[in-house]
Amino acid sequence: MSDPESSPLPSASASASTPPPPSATCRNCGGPTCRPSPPTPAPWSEVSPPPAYRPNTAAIILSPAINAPTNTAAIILSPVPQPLPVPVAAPPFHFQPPSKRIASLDHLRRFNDSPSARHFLGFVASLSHSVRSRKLSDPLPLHFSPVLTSLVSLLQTLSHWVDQIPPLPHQARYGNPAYRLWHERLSAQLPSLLNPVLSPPGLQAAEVELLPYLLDSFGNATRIDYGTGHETNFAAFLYCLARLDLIKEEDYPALVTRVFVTYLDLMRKLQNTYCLEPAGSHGVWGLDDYHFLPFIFGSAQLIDHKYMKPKSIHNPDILENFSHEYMYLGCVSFVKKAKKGVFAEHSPMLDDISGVAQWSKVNSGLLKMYKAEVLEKVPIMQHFLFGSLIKWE
Amino acid sequence: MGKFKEALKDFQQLKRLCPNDPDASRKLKECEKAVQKIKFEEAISVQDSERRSVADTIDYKCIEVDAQYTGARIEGDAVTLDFVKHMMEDFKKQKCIHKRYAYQIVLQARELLKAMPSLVDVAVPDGHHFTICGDVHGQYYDLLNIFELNGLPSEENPYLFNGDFVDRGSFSVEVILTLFAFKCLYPNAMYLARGNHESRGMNKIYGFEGEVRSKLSDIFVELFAEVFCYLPLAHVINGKVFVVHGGLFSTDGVKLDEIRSIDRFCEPPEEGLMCEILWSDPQPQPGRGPSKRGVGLSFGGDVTKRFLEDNSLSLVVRSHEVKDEGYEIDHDGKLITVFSAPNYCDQMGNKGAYIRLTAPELKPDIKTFAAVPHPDVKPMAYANNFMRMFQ
Repeated sequence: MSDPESSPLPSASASASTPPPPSATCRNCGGPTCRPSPPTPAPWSEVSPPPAYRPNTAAIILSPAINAPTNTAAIILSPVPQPLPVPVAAPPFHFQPPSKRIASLDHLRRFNDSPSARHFLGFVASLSHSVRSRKLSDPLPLHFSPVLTSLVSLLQTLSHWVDQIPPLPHQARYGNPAYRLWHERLSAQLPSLLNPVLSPPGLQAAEVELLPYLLDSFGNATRIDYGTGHETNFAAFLYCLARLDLIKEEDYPALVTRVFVTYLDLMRKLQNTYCLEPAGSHGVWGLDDYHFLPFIFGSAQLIDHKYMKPKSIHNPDILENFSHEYMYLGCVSFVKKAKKGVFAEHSPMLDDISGVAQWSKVNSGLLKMYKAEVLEKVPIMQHFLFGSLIKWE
Repeated sequence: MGKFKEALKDFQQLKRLCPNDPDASRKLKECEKAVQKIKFEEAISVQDSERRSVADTIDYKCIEVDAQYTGARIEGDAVTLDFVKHMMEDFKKQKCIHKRYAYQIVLQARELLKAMPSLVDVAVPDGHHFTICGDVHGQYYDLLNIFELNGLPSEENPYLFNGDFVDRGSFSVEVILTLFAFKCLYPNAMYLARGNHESRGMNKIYGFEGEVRSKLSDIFVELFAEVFCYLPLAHVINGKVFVVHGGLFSTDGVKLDEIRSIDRFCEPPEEGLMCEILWSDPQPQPGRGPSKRGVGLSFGGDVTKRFLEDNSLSLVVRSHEVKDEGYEIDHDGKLITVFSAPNYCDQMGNKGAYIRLTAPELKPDIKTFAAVPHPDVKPMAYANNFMRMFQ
């Protein structure tokens, strides 16, 4: 039985920098929905020692999310990221090879307060919104943009290479060196594969700026790993295409259900074939070893589903029969196959989330979590690239 | 399960319309499979009450109490008033009692509550009074204040606490152990009704579980979850005043006997009488509407009137919603909300209230009170902040 008591915070399209309005009251119980000020450590009086949360090993195994090192207090106070239209860049363009800019928390705060961050997050929220209540096999609007076709084709080519570059004999658990061969081919051939995408006149020059995002979307060749940072680069690549008006809002459903899904399939193939190491995974303290976005988009797909609730992920028949239609189920299915043991033990966050009453709450919670756990983490965002389309301001 | 049945009907309809559509057939098959699976699981599932109870595995008498323990002690089997007073003082100073005594209190309360019906008839003799309190939500120091203002519970001064004893406020353990201790001490002077927060799902998120793990132990989490299932759902005072935590029902014609015969030994379901008792809210306009909480319903004054008439009652008392003055009288005087957690969550600035009824008139005498200071432990200190993101 999950809790419908507290309402989401007022979800105006507040920028990341404005604090939530104070003393919002819950429309359900009249209780407060947020604290008037950010929680600060209590000045303990002599009488009361601070409530020591005893980390007990059983508690850690059974409910580690309570101990999770996520900055959840801040996340709860933050508004749900809302869809925002991508501002289309106008010529004259000043394409440049993008570079890393974030090396510290200060830099990160500066980024997250900037319009770039707001619009990028708004783009992710838009993509999520575009696939609300949509099965993967639902018919798309007739016009399937040539840009999307080229992207799917590009990803399929990369996938085909995996068949051509089988894993090498390798002792260690992770990191098959054949991945480096695949990645070399990627570096060599990506420019020509990207060409058809940048077909409109004047946009070929964008290759110099777009290529690095795409190159860094499939994992790291040296470490043979993959994580949410790489996934974010792919999202940034798509965002840049949107900024160039190569992808329009009407393309979003297809972008998610065709392009992103093909990307996801490719990544799973790479992960399985070359045993990519989870980059920066938090283990049980994280949502998933490799991905975040398919959970966001996947939860949106299931909003208002007639009979599937978040707890349906525990039903093996549902997973078996509907994983190909719903990304979220596909992700859970993948995790259950990849990991041994009790789901509640190897994926406690996903297990906790399955207790939420509605998919819309799962979706809004995950959007908040994406902002806090991906976009506001230096270890991930230190690799984020800034050019003329995603500006460093 | 209901949703699956709906979906199954849809697919069956579709199959009738398009008998040769392989996709429709496949989807029908898939849905049928899922429904069968659920039916099978329901068939083989064990009723909550038959499940092995964690309580049966605990023998508190085997737990040694160190000589160095200076807190309240229970000598022998029975909880005494001296013990309860000592315990309350210890709690006030933020000391916890020994686990052995916590087990004893909770286990004894469990026996008492288990034996009670789902609807409890309370008889208040002429000239005697009875006090009804609403949500306390872990605000122990405000509970102490209620006892200051209105006297400790005793045979002459009986109380009914109408649910939501725990969660949100960070002294929930102290509140529940105190209420349970009084239940053990004076079974006929301390009545406890279940609220929507006396459930696993809520306790996981809103702090009670975290607090129990911190102040007691993991086993107590299971134990409280079990004992909460034994809390009665409704009380009727002198056959006239109907008291539940949430509110009334989605259908007319519900009789007290129906409520009496609810099998309550489970987590609150997502629909039905038990769910509505714990979750519903009154609304100003007549009729019924969807609940703003997403579970239960909203019900108007006409629903209240009909329910009272159907059951020869004169008043509904409920809690569940914070009110500025600690109480609110609605539905033409036929429904009173009473809420006993002042300055709810340290933020709302509301008053608390309690209702005194004196037999035989049973005219509600409502007292209000303000919040009192408490040690610097903020509300939700033990809450599961991860899950709160998804609320």
